[in-house]
Amino acid sequence: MLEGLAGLGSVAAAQWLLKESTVSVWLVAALMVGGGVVLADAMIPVAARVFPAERCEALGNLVGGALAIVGTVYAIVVGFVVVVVWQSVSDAETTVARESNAIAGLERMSRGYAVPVRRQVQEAARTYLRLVIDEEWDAMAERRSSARADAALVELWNVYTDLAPADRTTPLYAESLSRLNEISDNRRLRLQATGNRIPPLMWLLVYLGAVVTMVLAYAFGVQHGWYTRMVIWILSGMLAFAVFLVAALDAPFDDRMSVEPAAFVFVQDNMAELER
Amino acid sequence: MTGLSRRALLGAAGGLAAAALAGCGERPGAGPVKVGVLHSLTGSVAISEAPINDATLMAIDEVNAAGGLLGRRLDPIVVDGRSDWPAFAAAIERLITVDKVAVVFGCYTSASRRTVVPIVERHDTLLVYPTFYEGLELSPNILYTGACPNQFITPAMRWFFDNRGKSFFLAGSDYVFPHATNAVIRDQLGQLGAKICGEEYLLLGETRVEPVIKEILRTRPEVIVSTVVGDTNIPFFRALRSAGITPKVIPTVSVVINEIELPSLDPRQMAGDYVGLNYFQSVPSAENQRFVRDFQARFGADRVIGDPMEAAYFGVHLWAQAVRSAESLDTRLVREALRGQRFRAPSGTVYVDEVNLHTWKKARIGQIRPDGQLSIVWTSEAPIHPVPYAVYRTRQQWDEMLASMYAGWGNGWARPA
Repeated sequence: MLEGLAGLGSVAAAQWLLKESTVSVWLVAALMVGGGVVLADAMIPVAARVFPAERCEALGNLVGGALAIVGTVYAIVVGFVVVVVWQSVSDAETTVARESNAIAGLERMSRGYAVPVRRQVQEAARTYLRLVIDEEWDAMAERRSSARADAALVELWNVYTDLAPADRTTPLYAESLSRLNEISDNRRLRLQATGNRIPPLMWLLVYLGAVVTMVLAYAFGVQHGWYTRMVIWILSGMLAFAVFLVAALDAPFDDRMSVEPAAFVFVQDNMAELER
Repeated sequence: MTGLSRRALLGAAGGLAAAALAGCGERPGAGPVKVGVLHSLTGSVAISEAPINDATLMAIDEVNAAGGLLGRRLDPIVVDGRSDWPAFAAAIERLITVDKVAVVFGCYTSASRRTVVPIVERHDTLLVYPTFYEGLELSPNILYTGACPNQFITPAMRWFFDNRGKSFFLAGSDYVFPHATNAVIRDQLGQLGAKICGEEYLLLGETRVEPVIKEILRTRPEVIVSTVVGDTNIPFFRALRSAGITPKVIPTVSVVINEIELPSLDPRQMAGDYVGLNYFQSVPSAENQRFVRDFQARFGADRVIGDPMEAAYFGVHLWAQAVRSAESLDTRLVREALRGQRFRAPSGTVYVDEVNLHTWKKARIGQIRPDGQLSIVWTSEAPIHPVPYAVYRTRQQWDEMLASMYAGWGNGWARPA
C-alpha cells in the first residue's frame, strides 16, 4: 500500500516538477518512469486478489484479445498525440527561426540606408530582441506577451513609415517592408503558439488508456513471480514514459523541453555595432 | 549562587528584554527614511514647479499610508530651490551630506538639473527627475520619469506632418531646451522631407515678440512649433492672433506648455492650438480619475494637474517599489532594482528602461480648450521606448553641440540677457 502511494506520489510530483520547477528534465523523466513502475509493482498483490489464477486462465483468450485491441488503439492515440505535440514544438521552432532571420535580414538591409536610418533600425531591433529574450520569453510560459516588445516592434515599423519619400521608392524599401511583415506575422504565430495545449478530453484519453491497459495486463494473470513482474515493469515504464513525453512536449513555450530563444540571442550577439 | 551572578543574570535578562522590545518596532536606531524634495517654491519658476512639489508630497503620503518602506515612514525634507540654479546646487549638496537623504525628488528646468547632476554623481545618490526634457544626457544617478524628445516631440511632429502640413516654423525661448529640441526636430523633419521655414528665439522673459511674428508672416509656414516658455507666451499668442494667425490658418503646437501654466497664459487666446506631451488631466483612465480626485480633494477642487506633476507622482511610487524589491535603501541596490520596474500610472502603465533609467510612456497630442484643459486628439498606440540621445547624430556630435552652446552663453545654459 505504502509502495503504491509512493509510486502515485512520485508520478504526481514528476508532473508538478515538469511544469513548475527548474529541475533537470532527465531527472523528472526518471521520477515519472520510476514512480510508474513502483506504482504498478505495488498493485500486483491487489491484482492477484482481484484476478485469481483460475479466473485468469478461464478468461485468458478473451482478456488477451481485449488487451491486443486496447493496446493497439492506445498506441495509435498516444502516437498521434506525440506527433501532434512534437509538430507543435517543431512549428514553433520554425516560427522563431523565421522571425529572428527576418530581424537579421532587416538589420543587414538597413546598411543600404544613411547612417541615421541604420542607427534607428539598430536601436529599435536591439530593443525588440532584448525584450523578447528577457521579458517576453518568461511571459509566454504564462500565455502572456510583453507590451514593451510590442511597442518596440511598432517603433521598428515607424522607422520605415517615417522615411523620406525618396527613400521609399527604392527596392530596398519594399524588401524591408516584406521583412517587417515577416517579423510581425511570425511574432503573431509565436504568441498564438503559447496557447497550443492538448485538450482536456485528450488528456483523459491518455491517462484512462494507460490505466485500462495496465488493468488488462493484470487481468491476464500475475501469478508467475519475477517473470510477470518484469513484464509489468516494462509495460508500466513504457506507459509512464509515453505520458511523460506528451506532458513535456505539451505547450511549446512553457517547460524545459520547450523552444529556446537561442535564435534571437544569436542575432542579438551578431548585430553590427554602429557608433552611437 | 552569589549576588554577583544574580546581578549578571538580571542584567542579561534586561538586555534581552530591551533587544526584544527594539525588535518589535523599527530596527534599532532606524528612524524615518529621509527623502529630499527640491523644487522652486518661490521665484520665476515657482508657478510651474510648486505644484510638482504637491504631487510629490501626495505620493509620499500614499507610500506612508501603505505602511512606509522597510517598516519605516518616509520623512520628506522640502527645500526651496528659489528658481536659482546655484541655490539648487547648494540645497542638494546639503540634503545629501547633512540631512543624509536616501533620494532626492526634484528639479524642473534643464538648467537646474544639469547643475545638480555632477553633485548627485559625486555622492552616488539618486535624483528622480520629473520633467519632459531635451534628452542628450544619461546619468546612472538619475531616474528620468519625464519624457525625452523621441517620446513626445518626435511623434507630435510626425502627426502634424501627416495631418496639418509639410512646412514648419520653429519658435523658442533662448536656452538649452528649445535649442536642443529644435535640433532634434530639424533632423527629423529633414528625414521626413519637410521644409523648415525659419527658426527664431526669444530671450527668457522677453515681451517684444514682433520680430518673430513678422518672420512667421513672411515665411507662411503650415505649422508653428513653439518651445517658448513662461510669460513670453502671453505676448506671443496675443501677437499671433493680432496678426490673424489662428489655429485654422496656421496651427501652433507647443511642446512645453501644460495645464499648470495655461490658466495664467489666457487659454481663451490660445484655444484651438495644440500641445504635444505624455499626460493630460483629461486622460480618461480609471487610475487618472482617482489621481485627479485625490489630488483635488487634498489641494482644492480648482487645482489642475500637468504632465510633470504626474511624472513626479509615479516617480515616487517607482522608487518605493524598487526599495521594497531591493529590501534596501542603498543607491546601488535600488538603482538595479529600478531597472524593469513598472507602475500603473494615471497616464497608463509606465516602465523603467533597463538600460537608460528613463521611463517608457505613451505620447499624446491635446487641443487647448478655452477653460485651460486639453482635449486629447491623438494617443500613441503603445508606450514609447526612451532614446535619450536622438538617433539622428552620434552621442559625441550631440555632446559637442551642447558644449559649444554652453561655452557660447558664457558657461551657462541660457543666452545671457
